[in-house]
Amino acid sequence: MGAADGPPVVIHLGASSAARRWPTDRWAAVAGALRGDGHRILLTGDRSDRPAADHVAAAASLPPEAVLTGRTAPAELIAGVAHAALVLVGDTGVAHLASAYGSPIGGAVRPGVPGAVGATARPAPGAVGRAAR
Amino acid sequence: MATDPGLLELGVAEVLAAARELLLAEAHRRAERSPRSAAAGAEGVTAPAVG
Repeated sequence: MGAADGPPVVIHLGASSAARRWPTDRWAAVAGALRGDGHRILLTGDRSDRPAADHVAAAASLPPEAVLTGRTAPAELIAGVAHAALVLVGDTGVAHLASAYGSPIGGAVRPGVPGAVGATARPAPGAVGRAAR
Repeated sequence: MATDPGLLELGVAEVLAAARELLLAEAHRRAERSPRSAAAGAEGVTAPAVG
């Protein structure tokens, strides 16, 4: 189903506020399922997110090169997000970055909106979002 | 600080379903924009289904 040599699914684990972070075990389950679909997964975040990323990588059986957390310069992060097949992210600045590049975004919620999925510049309800390219 | 209760209500199945939906849409979008598809479209040829 997926494309292991195609554009990656970027999962950005971090968020400036702990309240905005989705539980690591859930990210791991999503990452593992998408890896099982054949997608290439890349984990991003800053150095403080590295323990969580290592946990997700181990639980989802991701290869070491999938963990870019704490290892990307800002320009590399921007390039990765801009070219991703999908960006899964919490409610953080990277969601806005992906939105700016029109990358598909999912997996994030805005605190206080129970059950919502999708982080997008548009406040529309629903499961998914995409910024206009 | 504890995770927002709204986040905790969000299940793996929901996020995974949204992710798969987005990936499918993105794959279709990229396929439509690929040079091969553009050439086929210009010639009035429909690309064969694969897979």
